Amino acid sequence: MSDDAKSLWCSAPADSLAWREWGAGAVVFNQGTGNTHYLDEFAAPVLHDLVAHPDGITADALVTRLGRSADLPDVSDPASAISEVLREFARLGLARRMLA
Amino acid sequence: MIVADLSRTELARRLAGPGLRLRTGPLVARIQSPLPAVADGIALHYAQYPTTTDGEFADFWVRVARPRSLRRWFKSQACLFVDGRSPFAPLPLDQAFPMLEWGLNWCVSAYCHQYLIIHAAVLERSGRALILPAPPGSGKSTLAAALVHRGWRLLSDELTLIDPGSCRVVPLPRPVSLKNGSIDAIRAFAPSAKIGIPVRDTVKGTVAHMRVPSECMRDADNTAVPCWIVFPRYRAGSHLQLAAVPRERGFMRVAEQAFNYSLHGRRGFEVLAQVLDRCTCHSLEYEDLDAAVAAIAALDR
Repeated sequence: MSDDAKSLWCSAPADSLAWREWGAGAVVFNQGTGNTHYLDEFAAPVLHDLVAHPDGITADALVTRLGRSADLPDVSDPASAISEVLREFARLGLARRMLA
Repeated sequence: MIVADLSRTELARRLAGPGLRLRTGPLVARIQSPLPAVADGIALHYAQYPTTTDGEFADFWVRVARPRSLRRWFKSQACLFVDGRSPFAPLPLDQAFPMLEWGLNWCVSAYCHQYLIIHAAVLERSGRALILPAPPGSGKSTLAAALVHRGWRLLSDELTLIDPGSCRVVPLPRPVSLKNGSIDAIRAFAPSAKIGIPVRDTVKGTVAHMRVPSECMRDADNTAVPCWIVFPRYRAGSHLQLAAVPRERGFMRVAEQAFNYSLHGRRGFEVLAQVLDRCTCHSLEYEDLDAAVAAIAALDR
């Protein structure tokens, strides 16, 4: 298990994010950056879970939680996919790795 | 009073003197120009538009005139002045009327941030708006011109104004800018279309403006509820393709075509989201105008 998987992650402040979902992913406005992002059916629930855990959640826990969802698209390696999504969220200012 | 109520002499006098206050949709432009080509263009394209009295507030002050520099003596050029400043390089004199049109578009996109402004043609039928967002050269003005001649009311061929309070489309009907092959395409599609003299060798190629039919001006102030968003793309040799676009992706494509989405911040997001709430989204690839118009009419059933 990598350090990445054990690190705690959290989203940008929930009240700085505005969402709209119509059934195929989501669009999210981040007041912190002024940017709007399209999240696909895989990335949108990851951000939802991060928002639902303001004290932080590990990538491992995200894999477990998202693995229970029947609505998620098939992904061959969910752990890698989530890790990649988290890194992209960090780059965009949608999420950050919490200090230990 | 409308522009057609002015004699040609009076129109030229106002343009060369205090300016013609021309109302287009919710906006008033004070237009000054001593150039006959500008007077000709206004007489043809804006005959049915209201003109307000001298001294009344104008949103923009636009002047098209020969430059003051020595250049005027060896090259026939026209300059655009907005509120006394010249934001663009001069153009050949025969482009004076297109320059006025481009200048008015620029004024709206640069100053009218009371609206969310989308680079899109927009038409109305039965109170419902069809929005056609697309980058330049996609055929949106051509498609808008065709739809106008098949029962749709033109709200704008270039600038869709969304009122943030109501999320309704505010009309800004102005002459439709046709370019290159689309000029003859519209002549063939709608022989009754009133199209001005083509101006060659502009940065956009040959440009001609189509007058907004008078029936479009009857309810010129009536706003419309966004109902359909269609992303048009003209492609020579293509067969008609109309495909659904998920709203999330539609949202991003519309935001890309908005002039001031970022300026509105979170409010812009909420307004655009409410527009998308009310709309279905589609992509349309076309060559044949009849087929494209029929496909759009089918959305209204």
